[in-house]
Amino acid sequence: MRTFGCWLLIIGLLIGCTAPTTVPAPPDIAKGTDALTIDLRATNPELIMCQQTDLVATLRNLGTTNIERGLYTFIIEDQVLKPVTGTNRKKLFDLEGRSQYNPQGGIEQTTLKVKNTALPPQIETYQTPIILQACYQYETLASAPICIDPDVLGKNPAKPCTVAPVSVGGQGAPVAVTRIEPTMAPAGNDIRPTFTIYLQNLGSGRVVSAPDVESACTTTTTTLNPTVEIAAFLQNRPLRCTQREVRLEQGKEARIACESEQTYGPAQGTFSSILEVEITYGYINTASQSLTINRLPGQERCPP
Amino acid sequence: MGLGKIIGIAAILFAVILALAIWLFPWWVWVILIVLAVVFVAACFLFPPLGAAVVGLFGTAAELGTAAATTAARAGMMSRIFGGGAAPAAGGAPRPPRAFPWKIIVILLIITALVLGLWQGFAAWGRGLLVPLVIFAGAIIAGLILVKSPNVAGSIIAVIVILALEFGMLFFTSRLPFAALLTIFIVIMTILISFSIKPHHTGTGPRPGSTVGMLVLIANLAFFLLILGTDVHKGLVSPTSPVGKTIDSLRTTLLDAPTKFIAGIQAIISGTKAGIERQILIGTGDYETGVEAASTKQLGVFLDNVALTDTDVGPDGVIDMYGRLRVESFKTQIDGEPLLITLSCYEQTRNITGEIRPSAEYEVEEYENFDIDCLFKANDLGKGSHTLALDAQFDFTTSAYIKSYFMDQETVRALRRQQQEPLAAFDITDTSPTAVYTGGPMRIGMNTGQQPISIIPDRKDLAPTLALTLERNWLDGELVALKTIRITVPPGLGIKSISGRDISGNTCTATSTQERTCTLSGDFLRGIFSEQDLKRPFTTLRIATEILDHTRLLGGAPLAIRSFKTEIDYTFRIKKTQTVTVTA
Repeated sequence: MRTFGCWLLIIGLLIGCTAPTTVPAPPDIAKGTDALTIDLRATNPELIMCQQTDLVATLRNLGTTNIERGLYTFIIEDQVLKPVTGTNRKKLFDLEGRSQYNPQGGIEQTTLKVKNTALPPQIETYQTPIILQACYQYETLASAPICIDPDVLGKNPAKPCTVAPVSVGGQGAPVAVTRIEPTMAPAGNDIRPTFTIYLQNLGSGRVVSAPDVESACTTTTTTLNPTVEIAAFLQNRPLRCTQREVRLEQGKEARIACESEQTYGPAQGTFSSILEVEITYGYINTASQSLTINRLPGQERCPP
Repeated sequence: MGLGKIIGIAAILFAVILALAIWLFPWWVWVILIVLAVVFVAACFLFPPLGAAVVGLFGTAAELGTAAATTAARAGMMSRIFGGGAAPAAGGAPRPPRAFPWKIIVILLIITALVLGLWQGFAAWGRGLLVPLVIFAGAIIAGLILVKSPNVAGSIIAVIVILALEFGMLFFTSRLPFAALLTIFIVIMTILISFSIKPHHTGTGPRPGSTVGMLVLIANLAFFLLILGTDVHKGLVSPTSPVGKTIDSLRTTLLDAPTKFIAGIQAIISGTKAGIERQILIGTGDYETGVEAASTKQLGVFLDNVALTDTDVGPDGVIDMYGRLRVESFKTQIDGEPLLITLSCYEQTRNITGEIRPSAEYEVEEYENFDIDCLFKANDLGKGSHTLALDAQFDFTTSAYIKSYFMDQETVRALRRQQQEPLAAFDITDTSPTAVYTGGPMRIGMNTGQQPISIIPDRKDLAPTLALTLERNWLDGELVALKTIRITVPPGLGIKSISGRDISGNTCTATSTQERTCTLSGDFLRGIFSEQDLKRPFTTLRIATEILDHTRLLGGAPLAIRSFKTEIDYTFRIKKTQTVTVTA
């Protein structure tokens, strides 16, 4: 019994003396190319004629920007489905983005209660699409390490970094800076860092200019100009870009050239710095589902 | 193995099967036949010359004629299979060819015919004694010819074999679908093959092959003239026997064939014409398609299982054509009137009407069945063959809808400028909606043009045109009248004109869902569709719409999902025919 107690003590000491577990690092939230994701479904996807069902949409903000005053709209076939009194097919919403304090991002569930009002005569089964469109303003914050090298002649063989294009992954937003090509442009004896910044919509939605975003979901007529506003900073100083707005076509890469207002001389040496890019835009996500409406034998019309 | 041998073997097999099928007796008969067959095979083994003779028969039946030397050699070789009595001398030259043992075959044929004849005669006395007697006599004559003249014998055997094969096939195909076509095909092929057969010929006698085709042709002509033109076969064969039924079936099939053939040709011509016209209209954009809505029931009014109680009726008899009236419909009230079905039956060529029982008119609920009889007095029709028709005329409604998508033109253009398909931007996969119509005698095709439909807010005249094709869905019926057409357009749209005609005389109302429904009256439709138009397989209407309220049409959203709906009320007639023979 005593021997068993000794063994137990030794094992306990061994367990107690193991190295403490490392503190988990905070998750890298600035990843991925999603912003808002929509899960749309009907609680009863096989609706019986004249009955009602809930269209439930789960909105989840998987990007890093908070959505403020976003707007969603349910698009349904009014001739067969009618929103039940008290539920609105258009609504404003706010949704927190992913952060170190909320790594999952904000979630909101919204419901539109609809009722079938009629079916074409004699048709037993009718399928109608239900669509949810969400429009919101979003922002991409991208940062990339770049090398500032005034030694264009390569006199210093032991530089801490070299000037080379930088690839940037997803930044927790659908519009992403895909790569940056730095150029050290001579400016007298100094150099002026110039950057070609490449952008692309890598998300599943559509880009619209920030001022148009609300009308994209509310009005019938919209120009849907797919432009983004861009601003770049080097050492917290804004860069001078060729244009403020960039047109971002679906599936295509756009580019913009920005240069530093400040020049750098050989005395400052070669060093690494961070280039920060801010892109502001409107974004539209759409989700759709099909709802089946079945007529029971003998059903002709729905009561008013 | 030559063609003659193949035919010979197949013919014997068919003849056996035919014999078994014709004399369809209780099971013990089959047992006796099987036992006899086993005994016969055993006898062949135990008595080699008999086996050799049988194999020789199989191998040379059609070539018997004068090829005796070759055949005998083969028979001698084959006889070894059965025990070797006829084996050639070892190591030496082959034995000289032995004469074919035709005498044994003749004896066997005579014995078989005698047994079958007597057996059939005793067993079925009064049910067709002449058949076995004819077979018996035929076998004796064939045997005698075979004994006396080998050349002619070859021809006779070939003719018997070919006819046995032909009538065996006719026997089995007489009850199949397309029996008339099969019969004609079999007869023509048999005659052609029989003319091509050239049995071996030696000596100076007439070449037997030249007579085979002629004999088969004469036999066929005689047979079909006999059964089609006279009732002689009824005295030879009992009508209730399998042979009697087969002959009756062949007779009915062939008598109906001309009518059906003409109807078929007419259907092919009208189908081809309709197809060409359809293709032209598709090319010019005047034909719209649709798909039939999924339904648990086949919608319409049907005449099922139409038949005659008897296809041959005596002059004092009553002809009873019966069937079942089946109604499968959702809607039985058209404009407040009950769904009425009117039946009529008549003799087609002379338009003699029959009496329908229990009633010629039915008011039906949604799903109902009625058993009906149509009675004719045979005397009224007169002797000969008559085609009787049973008509059902009824009112029916067919509905259809087509989904459409509306967008503001600026939005459409903006998306296209971004190289994006407007509907894909809204996750819509069904970018070319097809009209869906309910089942029934008519089908409806609809089209509203390229999707999405672009709308310009300040241009009310730039509204979509709905193209509507009405097409006969059931080819064996006819459209009698178009009663009304109801066209429903989405909220915010109105109907301006139909095929260029102003619709002011028709009623247009708003529905509870703000749609607009215009009901085109019968008078208005008669102005559009002439009598000839109703007979055409399809016709297309073009319905011009106008925008009444742009905001209501788009519903305050970038995309509006809308439907156009159509209902047509019409009178349709279906017909079923049967052929009856009034005997003398």
